[in-house]
Amino acid sequence: MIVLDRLTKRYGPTVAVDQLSLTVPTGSICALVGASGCGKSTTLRLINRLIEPDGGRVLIEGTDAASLPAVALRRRIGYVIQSIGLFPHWSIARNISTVPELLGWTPARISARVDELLDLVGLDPALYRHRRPHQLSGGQQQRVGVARALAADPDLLLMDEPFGALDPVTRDGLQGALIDIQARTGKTVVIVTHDIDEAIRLASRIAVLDGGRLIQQGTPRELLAHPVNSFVEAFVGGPRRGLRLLQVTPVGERTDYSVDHGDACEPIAADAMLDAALALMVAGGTDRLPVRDQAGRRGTLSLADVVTS
Amino acid sequence: MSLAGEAVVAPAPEAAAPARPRAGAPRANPLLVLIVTGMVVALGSLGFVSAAPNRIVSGKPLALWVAVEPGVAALVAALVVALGASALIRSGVWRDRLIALIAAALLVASLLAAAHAAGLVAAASGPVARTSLGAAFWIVAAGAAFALADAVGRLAPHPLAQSAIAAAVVGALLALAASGALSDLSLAREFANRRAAYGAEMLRHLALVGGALAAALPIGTLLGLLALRRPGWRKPLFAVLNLIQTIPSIAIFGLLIGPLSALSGAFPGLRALGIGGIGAAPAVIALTLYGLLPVARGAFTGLASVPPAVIDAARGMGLDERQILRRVSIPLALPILVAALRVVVVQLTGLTVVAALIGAGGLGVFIFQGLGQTATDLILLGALSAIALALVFDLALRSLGELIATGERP
Repeated sequence: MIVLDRLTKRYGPTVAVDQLSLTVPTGSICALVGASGCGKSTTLRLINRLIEPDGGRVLIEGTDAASLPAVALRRRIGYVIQSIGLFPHWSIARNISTVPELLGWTPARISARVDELLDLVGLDPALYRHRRPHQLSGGQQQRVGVARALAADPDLLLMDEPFGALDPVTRDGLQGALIDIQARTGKTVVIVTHDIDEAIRLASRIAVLDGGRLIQQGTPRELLAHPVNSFVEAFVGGPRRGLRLLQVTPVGERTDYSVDHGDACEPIAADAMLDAALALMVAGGTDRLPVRDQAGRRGTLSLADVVTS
Repeated sequence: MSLAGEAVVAPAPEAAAPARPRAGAPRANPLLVLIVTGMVVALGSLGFVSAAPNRIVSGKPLALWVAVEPGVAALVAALVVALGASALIRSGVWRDRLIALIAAALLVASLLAAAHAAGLVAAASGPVARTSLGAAFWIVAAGAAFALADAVGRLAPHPLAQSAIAAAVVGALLALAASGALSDLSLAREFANRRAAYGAEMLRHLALVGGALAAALPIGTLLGLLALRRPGWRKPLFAVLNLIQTIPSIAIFGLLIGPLSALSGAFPGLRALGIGGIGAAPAVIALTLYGLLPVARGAFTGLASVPPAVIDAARGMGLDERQILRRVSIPLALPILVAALRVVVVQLTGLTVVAALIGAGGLGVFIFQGLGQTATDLILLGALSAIALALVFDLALRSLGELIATGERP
C-alpha cells in the first residue's frame, strides 16, 4: 500500500503539489490525471524521490520513503517515462539488466530474467536480446522500457505518461499488454496520464488533480457518474461522459433476468460493458438483446435499461 | 522464340551507348590540372634546390635541370607530365589508383632528386657546402602529397583506412630518411649534427605536452562539469577561458615569469623542485591554461549532448550520480570527448614550440637556434618535427575516435 500524506512541493512562490493525500492499495492501478502543470508528474517523482518534498510523507508498505537512501529506494521501484530513455549504447538485454546488475545478481540469473521479461512484454528474446534500441520501433522500445522497469521485480511501478508518444494503435496494444502484465504479476501501479480514456481503461482508481490539489478520487465509475464539481465533469467529458459511463458499466447490472429473450441472436455476456451492448443493438437494428451470465443464467437487456438505471 | 527475343534485346546496348558519357560526370579533375600547372611553372622558374658554399651564407637557387643529371630531371618531369595526363582521364576507380601511384612515385622521386643534387654539390664544392630544398621542390612535393591524399580520400572513404595509408606514407618517408639516402641534404646534416640533442628535445617536447595534458584534462573536465551543473557559471567561465586563448603565447610566458620568480624567491624549496620564473614550470602552466578551453568545452558539449531522458531514466532506476557519469554520460559523450582531446593535443604540440623561448626546451630550441644563426634548415628541422608530431597525434586520435564511433554503430 502506498500512502501519500499531505505531500507538498513548492517552486518559489508557486505550489506544485499542495497538501496531497492519497492511498493506493497494493495490487491496484491508480491513475493521476489532470491538465499539464497540475502537479501529477511532480507527485509521481516525489514518490521515488527524484524530487524531495517540502512537506508531508510518502509511506511505502508503512515505511517512510524519506528514511531510506534514495538510490536504494529507486532500485525497488520500477520507473517508466514517456521518452523511454533506453541507453542507446547498450543492447536490449543489457538495458533490461541495469537494475539487477546494480543489485549484484549473478549473470545466469540476470540472463534468465531478461528472457522471461522479454516474453512477458511480447518480444521474442532470440530476436531482440542483442539488438540496439535504435533498431526497434517506438512501441517496441517502450515494451523494453516496461521490461527494464520490472527487471528486479519491484512491487511498485511508476509510469509517467508511458504511452503518450505512441500512435493510437501501438498505444492500444501496450495498454492491453500492461493490463495483462498487471493481472499476472499483481504489481501496484501509479500511472500519470492526461488521457481520461487511458485512465478509464487501465485504472481501478483515478485521482483528478488541479493546481497541485487532489480534486476527486474514486473508481472510474464514481468519477463519471458523480463528478464533484464542474472541473471534474468537464475533465471526464462534459455531456459525453455518458458514453464513457457505458464503457465502465457491466451489462449484468441492467439485465432483466425474469425475461428470457431466447436465441434470436448470439447472447451477450453479462460481464461485457454497456457500450458493446449498445453497439450490437445499433448494428442489429433492435432494442433488445439476449444476455447470458457466467453461470448460464439467461436474461434480456432492453435499450430503455441501457439508458436509465 | 529465341530469335524474337534477340531481335528485341539487340538494339538496347546501342541505345544505351550515347547516354554513357553523360553518366561519366566530370571527365577531368580540374583541381589536379591546376596543381600540375603550378608544378610545371615552379619547375620552370624557381630553384629546385639551393646551394651555398657553407652553412651561414644564403644559397643560390638551382633549377631542376641544372641541379641534377639529365636522366633524373627527365624522370621527375615525366612523372609530373604523367600526373597531368592522368588528371584528364575520365573519373573512376582506376584513374584514382593511377593518380595515387604516380603522386607517391613523384613524392619519393623529388626527394631522391634533391638528395642526388645535394650529392653533386658536395662532390663539386666540398663537405662544408650546403644544399637546401628549394621552392620548386616544396611546390612539387606539396602538390604530389595533396594529389595523393585526394585520390586516397576517394578510393578509401573509411577514415581508418585513410589513417592506415597516411601512416604508411609517413613510415615510408621516415624509412627513406633513415636509410641515409638523403644524408647530403642540409636538413639531414643539421639533424646529424644534433642527433643526441634531437632525441632529448623531442622527449622534452613530449614531456611538456604530457605535463600540460595531465593538468588540463582533469581541471578542464571539472570546469566543463561545473558549466553543465551550474548554468549560471557557464557564461563567465567560458568568457574567461576564451580570454586566455586570445592572449599571445609569448605574452603569457612573459607574464608568468614575474610571479613565478617571486614565488620561488620567497620559498627556496620551490626552486629546489625546479619551479622558477623560467624553465618547465611556467611553460607547463601556460600550456595548461591554453588547454583548459578546448577540454572544458569538449567536456561540456559532450556531456550536454546526452539526452536528458536517458539521464532521467538512469536516475529513476537508481543509478547514483557517479554511476550515471561512468556508465551512461561518458560512454555517450565519448566521440565528442575524443574529438576535444584531439584538438587539445594538436594545439599543445604546436604551442610547446614557443616554450623554448623561456628555457623550457623542446623542439622549439632548434627553431630559435636556427633563427639566431640564420640557419634556415635548422629552423626547418624543428618546425617539420613539430608538424610531424602533431600530425601523428592527430592521426592516432582520429583513428581512436573512429574506432569508438564504429563500436557504437552495430
